[in-house]
Amino acid sequence: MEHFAQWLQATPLSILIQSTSWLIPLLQSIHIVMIGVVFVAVLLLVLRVLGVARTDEPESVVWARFAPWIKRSVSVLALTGLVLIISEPVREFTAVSFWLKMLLLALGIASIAALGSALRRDAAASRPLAVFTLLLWLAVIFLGRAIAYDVEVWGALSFKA
Amino acid sequence: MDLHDIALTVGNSGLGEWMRTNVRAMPIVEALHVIAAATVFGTVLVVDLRLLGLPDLKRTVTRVSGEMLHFTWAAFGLAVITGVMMFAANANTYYGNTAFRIKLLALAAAGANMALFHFGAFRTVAQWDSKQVSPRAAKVAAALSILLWVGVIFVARWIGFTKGYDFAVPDNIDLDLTIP
Amino acid sequence: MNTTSRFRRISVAALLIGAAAAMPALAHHSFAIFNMEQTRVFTGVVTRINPDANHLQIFFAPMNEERKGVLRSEDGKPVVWAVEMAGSAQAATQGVSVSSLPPGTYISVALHPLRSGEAAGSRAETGAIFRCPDKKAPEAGKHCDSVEGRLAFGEGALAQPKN
Repeated sequence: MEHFAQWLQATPLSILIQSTSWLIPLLQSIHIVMIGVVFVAVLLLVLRVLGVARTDEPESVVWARFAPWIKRSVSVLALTGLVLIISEPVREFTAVSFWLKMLLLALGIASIAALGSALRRDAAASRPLAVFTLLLWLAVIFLGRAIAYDVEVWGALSFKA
Repeated sequence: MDLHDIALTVGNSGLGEWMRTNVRAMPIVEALHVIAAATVFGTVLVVDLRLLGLPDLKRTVTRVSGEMLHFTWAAFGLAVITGVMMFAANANTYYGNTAFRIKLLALAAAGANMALFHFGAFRTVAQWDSKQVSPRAAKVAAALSILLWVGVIFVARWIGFTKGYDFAVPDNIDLDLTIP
Repeated sequence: MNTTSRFRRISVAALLIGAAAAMPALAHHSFAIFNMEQTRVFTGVVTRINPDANHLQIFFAPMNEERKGVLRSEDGKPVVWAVEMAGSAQAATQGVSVSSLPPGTYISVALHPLRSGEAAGSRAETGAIFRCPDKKAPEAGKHCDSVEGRLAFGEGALAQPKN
């Protein structure tokens, strides 16, 4: 994996992104704005399941309101994330936080889909699943920021230690 | 005591020292700051889009905003607390950083925009609460709000990339290598 | 105009504001600003440490090859380089701090320079930072790791220069 990361980091595309000084902060900024969109959309779906917000609307309406925003912002996040990975593959692939984030991200998307399958039919979605979904997404955001601090966060568990 | 002195005092405080000496402090506080900022932006966006007449047209403006407001304020509170902690960690560097200064101005502008809306167009909300089209002043405030909050996030991300280096050499250093 | 295209327009406008705020002297976070392919090794006199919580910075005046003085520009001012590393707390776990490397200390350090050409770099991933004993400069062309009584901050030998 480290060989692959080093190879990728030396490719012309990676070097082009690395040497365009404003590109990485720009992509990171777009990434954070999109995190705001996806996180609040997930938050409102979860709050609907818990009966805290948007109780004046049926579940299916709330799902129809936020699911497209989740899909679109996750697409932008995947795209900006991919370019950020290409720009600094060694830093990403050698970080415990990165791999854990990818795992929890997959789970987070799956659990939104599971919530959606109930919400779409106006069937009562599982409350524990809703809370779990929110926690997953909080953890994903947390781990995203933690990639830059692998040794600090994971200590001896870090591959970089 | 000018602003720079205040910044230095915050930086030299116990909080600043704690932030600099705890290995996990900075990553945890920064991550919480991102979560708080994302929540502020996302909840504000829901209200602004309603004012712009995009989604949620079947719900009243006050219902949408009332529901979001607690979350916006709670998240904003967390962002301020974590922001002060991060500032204390590197106060002197942030004080002189242009991106940081622009960020504070953008925050102030976002706050002023919100206050103007609240004490202006929003006072007549009863007349247009359930209407799909809000008055022009409300729409302008909503569009400005989205722009300003996105701007805050962008310049904030730039701070870390523009901290730069202060190469100044103190006077009392022997650079002639006079060996005793 | 539908929701997405309007949102997209708004995003683009905001993006331009952000880009306008970009400044040339880039530093910090994301190592892409450093040329990781290149490694430079310096021995110099510490002028100042900035115990930044994100990236501790050591400023130093590099010595000449003879190790009898520091490099100076044409106007006689000392040339100053900066090396940055992990945050101050993490750096302290290897003993690097304001108190362990006071101004005037002689050190040897390997770094990856900035792509921009500014006199700063990121500390090489491998190898320690070496501190010479007080006021004992290494022999010509050598570094602090060759001086008896030197201290090492971190693990391993001083990294070798690369291109």
